[in-house]
Amino acid sequence: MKRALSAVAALGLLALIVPVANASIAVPNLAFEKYELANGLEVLLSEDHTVPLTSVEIWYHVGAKNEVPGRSGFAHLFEHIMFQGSRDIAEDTFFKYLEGAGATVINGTTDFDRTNYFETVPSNQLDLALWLESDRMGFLLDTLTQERLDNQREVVRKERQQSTENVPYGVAEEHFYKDLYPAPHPYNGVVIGSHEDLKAASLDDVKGFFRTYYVPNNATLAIVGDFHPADIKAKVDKYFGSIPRAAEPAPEQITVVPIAAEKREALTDDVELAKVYYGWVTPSSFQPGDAELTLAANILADGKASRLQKALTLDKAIASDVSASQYALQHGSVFQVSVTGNPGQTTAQLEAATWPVIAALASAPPTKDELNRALTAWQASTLRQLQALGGFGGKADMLNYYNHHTGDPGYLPKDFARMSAVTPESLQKVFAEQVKATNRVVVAVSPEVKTETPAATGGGVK
Amino acid sequence: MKRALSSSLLALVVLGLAVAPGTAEAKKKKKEEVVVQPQPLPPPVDPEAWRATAPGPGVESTWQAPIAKTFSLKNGIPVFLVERPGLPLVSVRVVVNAGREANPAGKAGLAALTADMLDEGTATRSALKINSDATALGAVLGTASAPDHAEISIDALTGDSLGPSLDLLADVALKPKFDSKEFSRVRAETLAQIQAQASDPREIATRTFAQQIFGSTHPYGTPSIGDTASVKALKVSDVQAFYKSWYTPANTTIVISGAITEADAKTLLDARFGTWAKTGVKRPTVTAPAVPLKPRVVFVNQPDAVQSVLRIGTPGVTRTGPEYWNATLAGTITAGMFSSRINMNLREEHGWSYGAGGGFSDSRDFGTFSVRTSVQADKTAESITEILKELKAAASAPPAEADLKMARDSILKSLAGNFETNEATAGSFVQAPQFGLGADLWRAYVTDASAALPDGVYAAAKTYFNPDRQIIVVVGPAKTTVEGKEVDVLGNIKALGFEVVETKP
Repeated sequence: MKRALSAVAALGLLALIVPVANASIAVPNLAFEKYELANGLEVLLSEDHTVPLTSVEIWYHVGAKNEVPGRSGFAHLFEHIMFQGSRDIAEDTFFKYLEGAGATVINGTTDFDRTNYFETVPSNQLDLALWLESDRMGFLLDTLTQERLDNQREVVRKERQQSTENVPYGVAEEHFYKDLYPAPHPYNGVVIGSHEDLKAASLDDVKGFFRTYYVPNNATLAIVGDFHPADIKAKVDKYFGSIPRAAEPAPEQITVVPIAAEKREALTDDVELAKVYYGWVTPSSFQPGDAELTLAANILADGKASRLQKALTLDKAIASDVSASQYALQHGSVFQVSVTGNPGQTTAQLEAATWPVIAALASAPPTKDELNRALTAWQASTLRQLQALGGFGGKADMLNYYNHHTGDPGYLPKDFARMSAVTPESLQKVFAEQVKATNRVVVAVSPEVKTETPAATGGGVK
Repeated sequence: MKRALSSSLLALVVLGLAVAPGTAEAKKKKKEEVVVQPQPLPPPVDPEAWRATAPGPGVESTWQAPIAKTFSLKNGIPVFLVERPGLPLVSVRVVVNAGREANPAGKAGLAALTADMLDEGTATRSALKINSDATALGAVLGTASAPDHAEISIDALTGDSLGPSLDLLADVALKPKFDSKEFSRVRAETLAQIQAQASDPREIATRTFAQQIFGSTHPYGTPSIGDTASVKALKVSDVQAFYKSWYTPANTTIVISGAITEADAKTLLDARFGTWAKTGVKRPTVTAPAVPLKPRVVFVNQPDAVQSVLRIGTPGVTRTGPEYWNATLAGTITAGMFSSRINMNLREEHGWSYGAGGGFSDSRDFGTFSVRTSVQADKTAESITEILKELKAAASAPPAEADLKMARDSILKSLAGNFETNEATAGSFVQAPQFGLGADLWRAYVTDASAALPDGVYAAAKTYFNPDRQIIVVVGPAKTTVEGKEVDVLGNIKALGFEVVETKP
C-alpha cells in the first residue's frame, strides 16, 4: 500500500495524461443463511454489526402481475391497507410504533412482480418490527373495515394525482406501458391503476387477495444487520411460526405477445419541452439477453461519455436529458430510451437525431473500452449497494431480489459472472435481435400550444 | 417447549391487564372471583393472545455517534475523517464556502453554474474524459451547489484506483478550464432546466415560497439555478471571477469517510490538495432579508391541475442558534413525522392528500419553517384551514410529554442511520464546515436535543406556528370540477379572509 502510494505521488503528473486503467473489482462477499419455517415462510439472515441497526424486509411474491382485469392498481391499494392496522395493531399506530422506536426507511412498495415492506430499526427493537410484520401477515382481516378501505382508496387516488397526473410527462408513461403490454397482460398501464378500477375495489376483493397471496408460503422475510445469531431463529419462530400455511397461490398465466409492428402515439401535454419515449419488450429477468441489454443501456445513456448523451447533449446540443434502462421483469422486461429536448426542439427533430445512435449499436459491436466501462460501473454500483442494510436497494433488498427472481439469494457472484461474460459481439447480437424499428413502441410528447390568459382567470376555459 | 410456556404466561398477564392495571392486583382479583362466584367454564384459551401487547425494547446499544478525526493539510485545509473499515469504498466531499449567498446582485444562478462547470473540462481532461475516467475507475464524481456552500464529491474504490480517483477529484476542483464553448452548452442546459421547471407545480411552489419569505433579490429568495434573465446574462468571465474569489484553500474543508487510515488519507490528500496556493478570502457574508411578516395567500393559477400544491410557513431558525432544538422538536411533533398531526389529519382522517410533511430547515444563516403538501383541488381552502388549525393547536398548549418523547426518540434513536453508509457518514460531517461545528457535532447533537424542555418547545411553537405569520402559497386551479359540479377554488380561498395575491409562475 505504502509503495503504491509513493509511486502514484511520483507519477502524479503522468497520471493526468495517460488514460486511467479500469478498476478491477473483486466479487463482494455477502454471507447469508436461507431456511424455511414449517408454514413455508422463507427466511434470509445476514449479519452486519457496523451500526446497531437491523433491517426487516418482507417480500410478498405478488404484484400487479396478479391483478385481474377491472382491478388495475389493486395490489398497490392492498399495500396501503397493510399499514392501517391489524388485530393487535390499532388503527393509525403502525407508523407511530416505529417512529417512536427510531426506525428509519419505513415503507412499502408495489411493483409489477412483487410487493415489499421494510423498516430498519435500532437493533434492540427487532422484536417490535417482527411483531408488527407478523401481526399484519397473520391477522389483517380481523379488524379490516369498509371505512379503512374507503380512506386508503382516497389516499391512493391522491397518490395517482400526485405521481401521474400532476407531474410533467406522468400521463405519457401510462400510455407507454399500455402500448408495450396490451391487455390482458397485467403490466398494462401503471402500477397505481385507474380511478375507475380503484373505485370498483371492494372489501371482498381485499379479503380474497389477502387469503390467496398474503400467506407465509408466498413470502420471504429478510433480516439483515445487528442481530444475535443465537436467538434469531427462535424470535422468527415465535412471531411467524404459528401463522398457518395456506394453499399455494396458482402461478400466474401470462402470455407475452410480441410486438409485431411499430406502435406510435403522439400526445400533447402541459409540459415545456418535447420528449420521446422508445420501448421494447425484451427477455425476462435473468434470461439470456437480459445482461447484454443492461450493459447496453449504460453504453447508450449513462454519463456524458455515453453515446446518446455525447451525441445529443454535447455534440448537437439538442437534448436536455437522456436516459436508458433495462427494467428486468418476470413476464417480459422493458428496454427503454427516453430523450427530452432543449427548448424549441420538436419530437421529430429529436427522433431524427436519436434513432441512428440507437440503431448503430445493432449494426456494430461496442468497443472493448465502452463495454469495460459499463461493466465497471455496474460492478461498482452493486458494491456500493452493499453498504446499506435494507430499504431501497440495501442488502436485504438485494437478497430478496435475487431470491425472488432466481430462487437463490446468493446469486451475487453468479450475477458478476453473468455480466462479465458479456462480449462486444454478444451485446451487438442481442441488441440487433431485440431492439428494432419494427418492434418498438414510440410515445412522442409535445408541449401544448399556450394561449396567454391573465393570471387566475383561466379556470374552466378548457 | 420453553417458548410455549412463556407464551401462555404472557397471555395470562395480558388477560389480567384487561381487568385491572398492575399484574399483582390483577392476579389478586382473579383469585377473589374464583372464591365468590360459581365456577364458569374457562374461556377458550387464545394461543395468540400474547400478541396483544407490543414487545418492549431490548437492552439499548452503547453505540455513540462517531467523532471525526481531524488534521490539516500543508496549506491549512482542515480534514474531517471517519475511518470505516469494511467494504473497499471511500467517499470524499470537498466543501467550499461558495454557495449562492456569494452571488453578486443580479447574478442569480452564478454559484450553481460555477459548480456545474467544474467537471466540464480541466487543463488536461475534456468533459468527456472526466466522465469516462470516473466510470472506468468505478467512481461517481459530482458537483453540487447549496445556499451556503458548494460541494465536489467522489465516491471511489480503495486500492489501485483510489490514487487516480483522487487525482480526478483534485483536477476538477483545482484546475477547471471554464472553456467558453462548454460554458455556452452548460448555460443552455441550465436555461432548458429552468424552462422545464416552469411546468412543474411543485417547483413553482417551492420557488414562490422562498421568494415570498426572503424577497426576490435576496440570495435565499432566488432559485439556485437562477432565472431565465439572470442566466442569459451570465458570461464565462463571471464564472472565472466567481471561482477566483471563493474557491480557495482558506474557504475549503475536506470530509472523508471509508476504508482508509489517517496516515494514508493525509498522504493522498496532501499530495493533491496541500499544494493549492493559499489566499486570504473569508466566507461570503449575507444580509438579513427585509420582508415584513404578514399573513397572506399567494396564488399561482394552474388551470387544469387536479391538485393544489401548498406551502405554508414562515422564517425559521438557524442550525446553531439557541432556538434550534426547541423549534425542531416542535416542528417534528406537528409536521415532521408520518404520525404527525398534519399528515394524520389530511391523509388519514380526510383522505384529501397522499401525504403532508414539514418542519424547520437546517440552515447556517436563515432557515424556514414550512408545511408541504399536495391536496385535491376542490379541498384547497379546507386543507389550508385544517393545517392552520393544527398549527394553532400546537401553539396553544405545551406538548404532551408522550408526544415530545416520541419526536425526540424518532430523531435520536434513528441517529445510527446517518452513519450506515460512507455517503451518509460523509454527508453528516459536511455539516461541520457548513455550520461551523466541531468534529464531535453528532455527540453534541444528542446532548442538546436531550436538554430541550417542554416549555421551550411550547415557546417555539407559539412563535413560529402563529397563524398571523404564515405565508400560504397555493399552486393550483382557480376553478375545478368535481362530479360535474364546478368548485370555485380561488373564491373559497378568498373567503378565508386573508389578503390574496395572485401571481404568475
